[in-house]
Order: sequence, then C-alpha cells, then structure tokens
Amino acid sequence: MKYRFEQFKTDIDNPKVAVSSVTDHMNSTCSVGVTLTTPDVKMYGVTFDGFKYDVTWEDADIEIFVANEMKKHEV
Amino acid sequence: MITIKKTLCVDATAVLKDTFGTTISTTPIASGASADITAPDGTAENSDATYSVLVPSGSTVIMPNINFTDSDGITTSVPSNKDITATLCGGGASISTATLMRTGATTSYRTGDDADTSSEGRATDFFTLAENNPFGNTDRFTDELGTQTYADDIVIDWSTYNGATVLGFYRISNGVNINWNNAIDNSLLFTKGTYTTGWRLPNIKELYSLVIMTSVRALNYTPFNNNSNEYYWSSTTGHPSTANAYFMQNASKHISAIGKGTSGGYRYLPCRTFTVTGTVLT
Repeated sequence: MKYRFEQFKTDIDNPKVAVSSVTDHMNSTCSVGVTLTTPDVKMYGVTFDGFKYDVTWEDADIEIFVANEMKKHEV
Repeated sequence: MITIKKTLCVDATAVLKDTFGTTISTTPIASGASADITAPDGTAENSDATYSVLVPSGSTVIMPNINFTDSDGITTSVPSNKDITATLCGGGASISTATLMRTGATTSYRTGDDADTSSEGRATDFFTLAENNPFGNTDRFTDELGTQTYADDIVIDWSTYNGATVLGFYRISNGVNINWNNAIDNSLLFTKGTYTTGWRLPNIKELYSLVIMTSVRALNYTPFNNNSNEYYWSSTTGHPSTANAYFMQNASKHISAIGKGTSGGYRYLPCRTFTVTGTVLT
C-alpha cells in the first residue's frame, strides 16, 4: 500500500504503522501521533487530529481511528 | 754528402670536453712535453640550493634522504626523488573530525526537516563520526583511552576534534544547589586523575552540543545516562540581562537564562580541552 501526505514530497510505500503518542486535549478530543516505517527503515511521523470520545477511550478505538485516517491518504 | 732534413715540430692543444661536447678547457702542450689536465668538479644541489655538494668528475654522490614527520610525531626517511604517499594517522584517523553533530532525529515530519535531510549531514548519526577518530574508530564518545569503558568518568567528544585538541567532559553531575559563580569556581578547581588543570565550565554551545533531541531527558544516553530533573549551568552570561547566565534543563532540553545567584536544582558538568598527540591525550 502506498500513502501520500502533503508534507512529504515522496509517497510512503508499504509502511509499518505504529501509534507513537496520544495527546488528550481534555475536551473529549485527542491527537494521535503515528510513525510510519518503510521497509528500508525510513521513518515518517504524522499526526491525526480529531479523535473524539465521550467518557474515555480504549486502544482499540485509537487503532480504528488511525486506520480510517490512513485510508484517506492511500494512493 | 749527407743531407740533414730539419723537421719543425709544433705545439699541441689539449681540449677537455664534457659528455655533451661542450668545451670545458683548452690547454696548450709544448711539443715533446706532457701536461696534466684536471677536470673540474661538478656540483649537485637541490631545487632551492639549500643543499649543495661538490662532485669530483667521474664519481657518484649519494643524495641525502628526506625525513618527514607526521602528526603522530613519527619520522620516516625516504630516498630523495621518491614520491611520498601520505596515509591517515593513528590507525586511520582523519586530520580533523570537527563538525556540527546530528541531533539524533530519525523520524521525518515533513520533507526538508532534520531527519529528512540528515543523510546530507556531516556525521553518520548522533553517536557516529563520519571519519575515524585518532583511535581508529568512528565512535563520537570514548574515554581518554579510546574505549567506551569510562573508568575515570571522562567522556571525550570527538565531534569537537580539530586535529590537535578535543573537548572532554566529566560525566558525573557536580554540585548540588550551586549558583553560577560557585559552579565556575568549582570547575576551575576540578581535577581528575592526571588531568589536574585546565577544567572549566562549558559554554552554552559546548553544553548543548551534548543534548540528544530524541530523548525526554537531554543527557539520558550512554555515556552520560543522566535521567535527572536538573539544571546545568553554562559559563555564558545572559543577554540582555548580564545578571543572568544561560543554563540547560536536563528534563526538557530547554535553554534559558536565570539570575547568577540562583542555586536550587542547579549543577555543573566540568569540561576540559585535551591536547591530542597520536593517541595520547594530555
């Protein structure tokens, strides 16, 4: 799979996707930091804003959110 | 009747020529006489005439060897008119490894940022020099013996090596709750092993060059392994308020300036400029 982000000149091929941080803004939203590591071990960091929760959130919720956000950047 | 025929003999001329056919001397020799002709000496000299020696005709002169001394202090003789091929000293050390080191960043957050352009930097990574240090390895940090044992807690930062001197730090936090003047005084008095003089408080750039940007704590990496929440004084006075001095906060990697009389939570790391002769640091 290939991904494209406007902040990077190059497309990112077949990265391993890992959540590196979750920042809770204390207003029922979070920003999620994600590291994309390509097979040639280049690492790209992206941040997805806009994760929303009601009372609390679980890791699985974050994973689903990241998967959906990543789909938006598929080439 | 006997007729006597008179023969008139004329003098001879001896001409001395060199092998190019050039006349060196002309000597008249009386008829019936003999004469010695002395060929003049030749002269051998180097291109700037600082070396000159007379060479008797027909003899051979041995040109003196050329001595050259490398940065290790080792002198080598080679025959004159021989090409000299220079090799790196100290097991492959470059003359100078002085460079601005990388930050440790490996994750890129946009094209053109630190990690993205690091392949164009001047070192391999935060811990690895682009070229060998005098001990023949690419370790940025070693002890004074070129190993990573740090028995004396002295850390040499080879990224600062200029071919003659290198900066080293004492890696143990010194002073507890110490103000700026005392940090400077104590650094100047610091002594470790045979290195009894020359210690000082690092300036803010020397201090900050040790900071790794990919750790929560500024100095939390080997060989410093400093995970404390402490502030470290630099020797650099603040600006515009010269009542302040710059410090680095280990917990946040921040630089700021604060009143020189402040002491709570402040420490110091002494540093020293070492002279490098081969693989000996003095």
